[in-house]
Amino acid sequence: MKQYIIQRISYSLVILFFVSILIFVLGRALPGDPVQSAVMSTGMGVVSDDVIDDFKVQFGLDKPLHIQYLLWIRGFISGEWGRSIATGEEVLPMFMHRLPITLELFLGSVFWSCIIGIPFGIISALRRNSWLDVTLTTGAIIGVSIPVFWEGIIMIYLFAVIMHIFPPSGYVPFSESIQGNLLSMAMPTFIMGTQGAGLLGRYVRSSLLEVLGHDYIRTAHAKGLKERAVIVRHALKPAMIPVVTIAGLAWGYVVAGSFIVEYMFAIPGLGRMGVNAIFSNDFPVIQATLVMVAINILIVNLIVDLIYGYIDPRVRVQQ
Amino acid sequence: MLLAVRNLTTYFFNGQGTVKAVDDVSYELEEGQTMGIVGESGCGKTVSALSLLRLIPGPSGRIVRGEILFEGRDLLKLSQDEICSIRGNRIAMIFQEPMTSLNPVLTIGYQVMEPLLVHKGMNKKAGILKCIELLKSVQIPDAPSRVGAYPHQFSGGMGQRAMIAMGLSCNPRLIIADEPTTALDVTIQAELLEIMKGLTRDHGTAMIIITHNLGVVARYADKVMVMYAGKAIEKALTPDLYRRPRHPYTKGLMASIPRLDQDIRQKLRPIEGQPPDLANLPKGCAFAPRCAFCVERCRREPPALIKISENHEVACWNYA
Ligand SMILES: Nc1ncnc2c1ncn2[C@@H]1O[C@H](COP(=O)(O)OP(=O)(O)OP(=O)(O)O)[C@@H](O)[C@H]1O
Ligand SMILES: [Mg+2]
Repeated sequence: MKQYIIQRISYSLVILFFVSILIFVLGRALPGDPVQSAVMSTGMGVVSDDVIDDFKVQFGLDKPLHIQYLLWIRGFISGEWGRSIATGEEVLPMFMHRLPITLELFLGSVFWSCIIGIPFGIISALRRNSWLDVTLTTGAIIGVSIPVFWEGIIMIYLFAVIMHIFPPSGYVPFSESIQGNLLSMAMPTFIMGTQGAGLLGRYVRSSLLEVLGHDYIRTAHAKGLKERAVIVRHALKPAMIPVVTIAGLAWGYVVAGSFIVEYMFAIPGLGRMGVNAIFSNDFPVIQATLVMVAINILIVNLIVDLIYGYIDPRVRVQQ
Repeated sequence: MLLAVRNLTTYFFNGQGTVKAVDDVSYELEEGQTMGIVGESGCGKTVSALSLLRLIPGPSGRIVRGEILFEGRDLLKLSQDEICSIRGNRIAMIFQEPMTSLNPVLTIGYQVMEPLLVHKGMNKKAGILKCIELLKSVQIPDAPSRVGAYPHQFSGGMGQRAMIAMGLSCNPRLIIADEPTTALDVTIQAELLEIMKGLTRDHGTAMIIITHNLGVVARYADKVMVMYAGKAIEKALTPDLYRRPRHPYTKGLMASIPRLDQDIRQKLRPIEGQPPDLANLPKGCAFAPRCAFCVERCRREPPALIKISENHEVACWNYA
């Protein structure tokens, strides 16, 4: 198991290395000159080449590309993530400030996904082809195919504008008011969660159905286990193996959804910051955001691999 | 009498029609007796065994008729909870493929002791001790350290031993061994059958051995039922059957096995033709199209089992 974990972590680091190069190159290749736009934003109008060169020196843009890359990486590791070109703020504190908000959003949506998706998958597998199964499966398809923003608009209209249950947007920090915090996060997390729940439910259903057809389920019945015990002790664990893998792959969509949802609900998290940075061509912030997204996805996949190893002894135990 | 199966009939109803997998099969088994069920692939051996435990996969499969009297009770009339308390406890089944019949994510130890936890109310601690004992009894070397192993760490032969240990755990009155050994090589096969025979003899357990292998039947079974296309076509005590097989199909089976005392230049004679489609059986005897002794009546009417001696029944118009 230890060897397996070390192996997974080193894979992640290698991937992170390549992703960082990609992000770095993309940052330079993107249309729009960051220096120009930064200089423009100072309101100086058209400026001389000297000023631009000064600017380049100040941000280290005069050096060769590979040196720039190494400087960037070194800075990143030592916590010097540079300054936002748009606001002049330090990028790292900007991040740290917003990270808990986005984490709360992620955890909330994972919570909804599991709470809705897993029971739905199990029930529709066990009641295969019943009206309940058909209803749930149709619901899942609708849940997955409605775009996040559309679901968001409808929910805001119904629950905020008409019923006044939840605030239409905005974020209340946990430290300020627990109830206010939960109310403000309920809709955004639910919207992201239902998207995941539809996917999760469908995979749980098909995976469980596949497992129930295996010989070892017949063995479990032949031992005299009741239906419930057969499902709980013999079917669920192996059924989760492919589901966990899919969950890792689908995480990218969740992250992408968070950008939209944060923007829509005016949640001051990382997604909103990233979107704003893109609009203002604020590339230190864009780069940092992209790296964090990559790290986030790698960490989630690392967790997935660990869960996978925990569930499946064929992965964990060497022959 | 331990078990009396009467007119057992199990069909699969699917889109194309009705698959008559087991059709009107009857047999009896005394305490401690061993019966062999033989026949070609697809003739309904496994389905007839699964029917005893009501393990026919629904919704297409159904036991449409019959009685299964076990220890005086009709298993087909029991509630779901009652049949569960018989499965793995009074009647155990050992399946064909050890590697797919064991759960890949659970330890061998847990799987072997699970019937004890369920039926005997044993706790895990006592279960593990008993499990080690069981694994020793099926001659798994180094049993205490194998308890925590997973099926993929076992070879096919070891997996099959674990299956046997699992089947024997609650000391059932009847064990059904479905082709316990085809996937294994011959020496392991012999070893496993010896182990199983020894253990069942010690405990007076009755056994149904399902196999293609007439040699296995000759050595281990007290009586034999030969199946063809879902029907029992010949039933006899083993010595009687081997001394004088009556049904042309049984004779064909006998002629198709190699014998040590046979002249090697003499060819083995496989039975010509293919077994019939169980969803589309001929009107008369199902074996008629392949039978060298077929008469006109065979194509018209299916023959019923008739007694030709005290312990020998055959379903063939040639003996009517
Ligand atoms: N779930 C099922 N649905 C439909 N038909 C089935 C099903 N299970 C078995 N059958 C049919 O029932 C017939 C008997 O199958 P069975 O498994 O009992 O054969 P068998 O004698 O055990 O063969 P083998 O020696 O290959 O194990 C076969 O024709 C098979 O196609
Ligand atoms: Mg079979």
